[in-house]
Order: sequence, then C-alpha cells, then structure tokens
Amino acid sequence: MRYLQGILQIRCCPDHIREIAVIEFKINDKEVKAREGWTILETAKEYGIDIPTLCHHPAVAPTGSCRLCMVELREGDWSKLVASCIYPVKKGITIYTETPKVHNVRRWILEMLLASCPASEEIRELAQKHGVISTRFSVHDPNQKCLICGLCQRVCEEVVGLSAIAVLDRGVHKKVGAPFLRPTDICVGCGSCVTICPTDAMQEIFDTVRGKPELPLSQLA
Amino acid sequence: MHLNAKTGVFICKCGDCIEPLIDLNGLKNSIKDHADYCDILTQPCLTPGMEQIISAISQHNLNRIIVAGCDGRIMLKKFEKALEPLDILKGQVDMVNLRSHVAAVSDASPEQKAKKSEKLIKAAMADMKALVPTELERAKLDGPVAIVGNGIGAFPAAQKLITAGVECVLSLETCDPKKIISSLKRSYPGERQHYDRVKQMVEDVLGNEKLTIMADSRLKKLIGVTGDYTMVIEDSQGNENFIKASMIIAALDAKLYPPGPEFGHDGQTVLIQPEMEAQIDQMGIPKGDVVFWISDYEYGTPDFAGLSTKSAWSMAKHIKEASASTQIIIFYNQMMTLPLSATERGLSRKLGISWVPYDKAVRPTVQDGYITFCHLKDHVEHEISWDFLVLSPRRAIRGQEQITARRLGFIHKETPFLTGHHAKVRPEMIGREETYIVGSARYPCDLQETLNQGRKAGNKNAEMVEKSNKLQLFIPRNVCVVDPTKCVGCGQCQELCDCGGIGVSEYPGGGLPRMVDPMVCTGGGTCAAACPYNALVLQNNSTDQREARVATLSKLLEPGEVVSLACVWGGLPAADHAYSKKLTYDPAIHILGVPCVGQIDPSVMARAFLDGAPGLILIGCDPEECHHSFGIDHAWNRVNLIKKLFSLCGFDRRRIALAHADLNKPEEFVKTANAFTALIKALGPIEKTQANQDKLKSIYHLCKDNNRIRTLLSAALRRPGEKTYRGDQKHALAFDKDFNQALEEEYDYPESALFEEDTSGKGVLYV
Amino acid sequence: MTTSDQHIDELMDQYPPKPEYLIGLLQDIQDQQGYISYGAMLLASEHTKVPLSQAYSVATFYQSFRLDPPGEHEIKVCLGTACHLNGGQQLVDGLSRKLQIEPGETTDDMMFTLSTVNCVGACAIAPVAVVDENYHAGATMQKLEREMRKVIDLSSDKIMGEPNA
Repeated sequence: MRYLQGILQIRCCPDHIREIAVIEFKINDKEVKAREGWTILETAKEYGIDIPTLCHHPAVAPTGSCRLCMVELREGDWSKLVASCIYPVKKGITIYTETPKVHNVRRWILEMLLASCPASEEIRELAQKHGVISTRFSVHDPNQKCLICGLCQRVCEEVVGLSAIAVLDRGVHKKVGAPFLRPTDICVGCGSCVTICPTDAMQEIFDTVRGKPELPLSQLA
Repeated sequence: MHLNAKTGVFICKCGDCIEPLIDLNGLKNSIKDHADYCDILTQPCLTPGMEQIISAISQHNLNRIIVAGCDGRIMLKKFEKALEPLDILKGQVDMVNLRSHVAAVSDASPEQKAKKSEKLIKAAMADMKALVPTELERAKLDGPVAIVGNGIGAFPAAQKLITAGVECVLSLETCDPKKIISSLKRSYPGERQHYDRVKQMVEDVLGNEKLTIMADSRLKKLIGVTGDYTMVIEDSQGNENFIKASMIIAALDAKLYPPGPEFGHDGQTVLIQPEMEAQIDQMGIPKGDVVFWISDYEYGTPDFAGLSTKSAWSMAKHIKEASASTQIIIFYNQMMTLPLSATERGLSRKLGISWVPYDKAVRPTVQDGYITFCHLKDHVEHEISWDFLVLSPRRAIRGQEQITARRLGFIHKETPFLTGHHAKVRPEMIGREETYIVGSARYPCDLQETLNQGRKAGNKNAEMVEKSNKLQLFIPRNVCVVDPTKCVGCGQCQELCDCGGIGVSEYPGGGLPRMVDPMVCTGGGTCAAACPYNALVLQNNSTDQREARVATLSKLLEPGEVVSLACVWGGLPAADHAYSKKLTYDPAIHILGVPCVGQIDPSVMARAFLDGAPGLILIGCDPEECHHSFGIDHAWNRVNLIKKLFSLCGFDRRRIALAHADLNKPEEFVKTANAFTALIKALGPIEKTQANQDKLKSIYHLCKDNNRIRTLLSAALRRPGEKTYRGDQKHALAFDKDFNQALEEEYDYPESALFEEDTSGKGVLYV
Repeated sequence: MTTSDQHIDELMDQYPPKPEYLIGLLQDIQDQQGYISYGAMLLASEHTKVPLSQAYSVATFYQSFRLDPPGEHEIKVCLGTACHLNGGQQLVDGLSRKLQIEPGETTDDMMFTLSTVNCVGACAIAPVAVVDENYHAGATMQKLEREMRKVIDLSSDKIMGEPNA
C-alpha cells in the first residue's frame, strides 16, 4: 500500500478490500453480496440484472440526472423509488427492478424523452425496447437529439480535465455548448464528448465547439 | 522498478456489447497460457470489477495490465488512477478495444472475432513486455523565478510572485521609472487612464526589498531545462553573471513603427500614434485639426484595427477635453465595427468627435493638408483637411526584444509574433504559454491585457512553485529523453520539435548534445523517429514497444488481414465513432492506437512487412488539424521512404498507405478502411520467398540503422510545397531524384540466401 | 476591452480567489458595466478559478446577468396581467417593428434596448412602458415614438457626429 500525495487510498490493497464489510441485500428476491461503496446499479450489473440507463457511463462519476435507472426500494409496506446509479448499497434492503411502479416511471421518462428528443434513434430504440412507441407530449423541436444528460460536460471535466463545454442557460433554452457559443481554444478536439454521448447529438454540436487557432497558419506571413 | 513484466489480461463482458458477439471463453483459453493471469470480468470498469483487478494484481504480483474492453481514450484514465497506488504507473496499463473495434463492426462469427481479439491482445502484451517503465519522478524547481525583458508585464508578474512569497529575480535594462513609463507610452499609446497607476506599480515593485533586481542588464544566453536554468546575464560593464533560475517569465512588448512612404509619414505632421502621444507629452495639445486614420486594413493587418481604434479614441478624448475647439475626425475602413460601448458613443457625440467610414475598395491617399477617400453615401471622392494626421502604427518584434526572444528560443519561423500554435495535447499544456511569456510581443494587445497576462504568469508560476514545494509536481510520463552517449549534436530533433522542448546541453569535453526539457515536451515523438542515431527515446511509449506490438500482430495475421496505426486525435476516434454510429467495415483491418502517426519510426513500418503483414495503413489527422503540428507531414515522408524502397525491391508501393480521418466523420473512416482492405486483398500477400525475405530484411535494417538515410530523411521532413523548409530541397523533382539515388546507393540487397557472416561491412545480419 | 474594464481588475482584488465568490463578483461587474463583457467574464473566471464554461453557465442561468452591452436608452414594456390585458403585447410588437429588434436585443447603433418585464406594480396606469426609469402611463406607440425622438438627436447624419464634408 502506498501513500500518494499524503492521501490514503483505501481500496489499493486486497487486505484492505477484505476488511471492507460485505453487504448483503436482495434484488428481485435474490440474495446478492456487495461491498461498501458499491451502488445498486453496479451490484445489479455484476449479477447480470439489466437496468436501463442513459446518463450513466463508467468513465465518469454518476449524477442520476436522467432517472431512467429508478428502482423500487421496499421496506415493509412502504416503498420508495431511488436512482440505482447513485444509491449506495445498504444491508438488508430489498430492491425490485421490474415492478409496476418502476415500469411506470420508465414509461413516463421515455415518453417525455421521445417528445423532447424526437430526432434521436437511440432513444426511440430504447423506448421501443421498453414498450413505449408513442408519446402524449407535444414536440417542441423536431430536430432535437440532445437529452442534456451532461455526460459530455462531465467527461471534459473529469477525464480530459479541460471543462471546455458546459450546460448553458435554463428551462427550454437549456443547451450544451462552449462559452459564448463560439468555437473555443480551450477545446483540444479530442472527441471524448462525441464518444461518450449516448445519442449522436454531440456530433453536431462538436463542430461548433472545437476551436481553430486565432490566426490560421496560412494567413501569417 | 518492474523490469520483469508480469502481465494480467482482463477481458470485459460489457453487458450485451461484447459477450454475445465474441466467443470470450475461446479467447480466454487462447490468452491464458501466454499471460501471467487472464480472466473474464463482468465489467472491470465499475467498482466490483476494479476490486477484482486489484485483488488479482496483488495475488499474482502483476505489473502490466491489459483491459480488453472498450474505448481507452476515455476509460484508460480511470484504470490508471485506480491502479497507481499499487505502483502500476501510466504506461503500464493498456486497453484493447474489443467493443468498438471488434464486437459489432462486422458480421464475422464469434469465433472469428475471438481470433481477432486474440491477435490484438497478444500484440498489446508484446508491447507491454518491451516496456521499460520509468520511475515517477518529481520535478525539481531549483532557484528563483527569473523575469527578463523590458516589457511592462514584468511588474504585475513580480507583484504577484512577491505576494505569493516566491523568490524572484528581475533583470531589466533600466530601473528609472521615468524611462520605463516613456517606453510604455511608446508601446501602448493612448492608454493614459492607466499610466498613473502603472507608474505606481512600477515604483512599488522597484522599491520592494524582497526582490533581487539586476539593473542595466540583458540576457545573453540561456542554458538548461525548466526547473534548472542557468542564465548568462550581461551587465552594463560587459561582465557576465551566471544566475540560476527555476522558471523564466519573458516580458516582451512589440515595437510600434511607422509604415512605408506611401502613407506619407514624416514624424512631424504625419505621425504614428506613439509619436502623437510623445508630442502631447512634450509639447502639449497640438494646435490644429487632427485626423486619426485607422489604417490597419491598408497594412494587411486588420486584426489590429480594434487596438488602434481604442488608442485613437483615447487620445481623441484627451485632446478634445483639453481643447474643445480642435476638430477631431476618426477615419476608419467601412469593414471595421466600432469597438465602442453605448456610453462611449454618447460621450463621443457630446464631445463632437466625428467618425467617418470610407469605402474599403478605394485606399485613401495622403496629400499635403488633405486626405482623399471615397464616401460611402454618395461614392464621390471627398477630402478631409488635417493639420495633424495620425496613422496606426505597424507592429513587429524588433531590436532587443527580438534578440532576447531568440535567446530564449521563442522565435517561430511561421509566425511574426511569439505566440506559437503549440499542440494542446495534455490539459496541463493548456495555457502553458501564458506561464512564461507576457506582453504585446506574444500577440499585439492593449495595456490592460498585458497587465493581466503579467498577473496570470505570476500566479501560474507561484502555483507551480507551491505544487513543487508540496511534492506534487511530477514529470509527465510520456516525454522524450536524449541519450548523450549516442547524440552527435546534429540538431535535427530540435529543428523538427514542435513544442520547443529540445535544447542544447553543454558538456565538458566539447560537443553539443541535445537535451529535452521534460516539462515542455508534449510527447509528440517525431524527434525520436527522426534521430539518425536513435539517440532519443519516448519514455513509456517507445519505438521498441511499438515495434514489438506491430511485429507480434503481423506474425499472427491471416491472409488478407492488414495492420493499421491510427492516431488518437484522428484515426482512432473515427474508428470508435464508427461503432457509435453502428457502421460496419471489413474486419480484416486491425487497428493499433498511437498518440501521433508522426512518432512512428520507418523501421516499425518496415518491421510490419518483414513479419508478414501484406499491408500497413497509417491513419492520421488532416495537416492543419495535427495536434503535434507537423506529425502527419513527417509521417508522410517516412511512408514515402518505404514506398521508394518497395519500388527498388519490386514490391507494390500501394501496400503502405497514409490516410487522413476526421473524428466527426466516421463514415469516411469506413470508406478508408474498406478501400484499403479491398486493395490489399486484391494484391494478395507478398510471396514468401527467400529473396523477398532478404529484401524486407534489408529494408528494415536500412530504416533502422543506416545513418545516412536517416539523416537525409529527417532533414527532408516536410512536404515539398512548404516554404519553411530546411535543407537543400528547392526543386521537388530534383530532390526526389537525388533521394532515390542515395537510396539506391545505400540499399543492400543480398542476392544469395541468408549468410552467417557480414563481409560487406554495410548491414547487420538479421537472424 | 472597454475603458470601463479599468476598474474590473481593481474589483477582482476585493474578492478572494475562490469559486464561491464568482456570483458576487459577477453581480458587481454587472452593476458597474451594465453587462458582463467577454473580457470581464474571462477575468472573473480566472480570478475565482472557475473554468470559463462553468462561469458562463452560471451567467446564463440567472436572468439578472446580461451578456450583451445595453444601449444608451432602455425601453421596458410591462407584460404583467393588467398591462397585458390592456395591450402590452401590441406595444412590444409595435416597438419591435419600429426599432427592428426583438425584445432583449439592442439596435445596431446602440441607441435603444427593448425588453419586457413581468410587472412594475403600476397596474392602475396600464399599459406601462418605462423609458430610462421614466414611467409612461397609458402608453401608446405615438407617445413612445415622441419620447424616443426627445431622447436622441434625430437629425440623421449626426448620429455619430459626422461632419458635413
């Protein structure tokens, strides 16, 4: 085990990992074993239980913004819905991933997404997979693909380290872009945002973000 | 460190992205006997999987990790961060992209895809075996921060450094505040709202006891690397002082000078802005009407018009406020948008300053007491009378600033100012330039901006010193290192280097071997690929590693399969995005990612063919997009060398190719991949005869060891059309003929089969 | 940068260089300059060590920050309930046509900025338009045009003081 920068890395040694408590709980009435620090989603994936997600990507920290990963947590007669991508595992909880409540949430979210991102093939396919083929909501912008999940912003901040883009404005005007909506020199054109984007919305936004040097080389004489 | 590689391969199921499409059990079986550990994990990138990897590493003492999963471009960092505490440093973890490059991009069977995965993984394992990992080194900052140059930016920088408690040395030509301010007025005319407070700042800095000031001095020479500089500073008596410094801030301002005679400049009635400023200072408000002509468009430098306008406006305001009867006109090209706020426009109207736009198609002509121009309203040529005509200044780096800049290694052939288009390839490189150069010599700007740059540089340097004191400043992992025992001092690497990281080291006993400044090096690696004597090594990502990877892959290829080297900025993301867009292409192409195709040594290219690859394609960026400035162009020259050698040997030149890709156009990448694989399939393999093997061996050795050809090649790097081209090449055709001739002379094709002894003394045997 | 940026860097020094002070700093800049210019935004983001994209995100999120320079004269038309019922929207449309700008924009010569507000609390005199802090009761297009002519010198060539050459 090594001290790096004076900060103790807890999970760097198997002895320590063994010391971290094993947490037992249930998913869909099945006993599962996890460790402290895992989320419900991570445990489910480890056990091959499928939970749909959109704003989750292993490269960046989860934020729980799309809410598609909601699962039902029951305690006695009472239950609540939690976002499995950020909810930490706890001893003795009972989680259900395919109840009417959960299906209802997914249906609502997918219907809303179909209305807000009508141009996205990926969302249409995901919706179809969960039995949602039409939406009762009116379409605001028929060309919209971006669901403002924030993955692009997170990857640029956490993985690339540049924060070249962010989610701007509010309400119906919310959009992803570079500062001042102008191509920016801060962007290095690595394409990580395009790679991580769950739809192909970033492809179109990308060219408005990646910056050219102030003066094109050919103009300098 | 861990020189004995113990490799662990972790294969990812990745939900339904990999497992159903590739026969993972078959893959594991084919790998497990070759690796020290091999297992299939549900999802290695999530916490459960990460814990399993860590356990495996500790149990089996693994020190090379390969995760066969998805896009390393975004995922690798997570693994590097998680495994660093286990002494697995950057360079010791690698990812093979099964998801985006194998699983869904073709209709091959799961067994066939497992075979392809096996080849890619084994190639990665060979790379890891050839890796000689370096220790995690701390960057040492030894000495004070030195501020040189006569730019006004030196003072805010010094202020910030003093506030942060960082030791600094200031080397100035003059310590007289009056002279400094009058020089300031010549470089930044018309900014009188700042002059007083800048004067105050200058006096504060000069009076500060914590600062070491070398007066009447100038920089004569600079030796060393970041953290360990030695500056030779000449004082007024001509004595040389050797000063140690950890970092340097260069404060340089551009010179403002008059235009050519066609503008009628005489320095008395037809002036440039700094001259008018000086006149106002010395003789007061000019008596007579003043016309300010914003002539930057006519100089061919429209980008500076805004700057000139603001100075003109400031001077116009001053004159008008002092003498309301003076008629002032600001005369500007119609293409310019006035950089004035609403308040300023209101003020201008109140003061009665006129703004007259002229037709851009007709250049105004200066005459004695008049200037003629074409009015936009009526297209008639009007005349404006003047007693004083103030032109925009021309801007350039001249005189002492130019000398200092050159001595600091800043002069770029491609730009007239000091701002370079250095590759922004690592986040810590962003804004690096702001750390060491401030002032309008970097790029013309106003005084406000220069002061801001000075503050920023002071802050950034202070931050670096703080980081270093906290032992948190490390040398980046992928930087080049020169072996001084092999370096002959030819300087080719320095010529080619796009980041300015290569300098001269002074060695006792003569000779001028080069050395790399690890804090500046961007890891472009073209220097290492170009060095005629193989004296440069790109740490943790060396030519040896790449050669091992390419060789292993080539040996495992089946007929019709090709190798591709794709750069991380162009070809590789294009391939990754082809998967996101659910495109398919011929699975015969096997893609290996590299940071830049410009770092691929021609010997690596030759090795691919030597070990059985029928085709090799390098996929890089467009020339104007290359993140290492000229990497793609250098790759062009090297690919061309192989083509020439193929011609000599009777092999089809098309077997090696260079392609360009845009990460946002994956459909185009698919076209490239399919076209090349189709071509190679049609060509068939290179016949496996003894003669052909010998030819390929000779090609390989020529590329690797022949100093003459490597020297010629690196001297010729750039495409023939480029003007900043070094070497003898003036005529594209003549050059090519000469180079071909040299190749013919150097290429050594043994007519017979393998022989044990090398009697010719030319090449080395390949066994 | 405009000359008013001179004070911006003095403003910076009043705030510690930490992210939590970004909004306070932006508010001060807004008060002083009337808007947050590109240069000021850069300075603020550098000073508080917030990435530029995030600083811009904060500035666009809040309605009270404007990012484009205001014109010399601001016309605010109230669209609160009473004013709306009394023809407030028609006023906005008329002014928009006359000035050739949308609400929120400024004319090219930077004379007028047109904006709509939610309620100025003067419902008895609806519809209300505020021109440079002067409240106009029962506003009509005619009244507002007269008002606009009063505040500027409308002799056409003299907008920027061009001489009659």
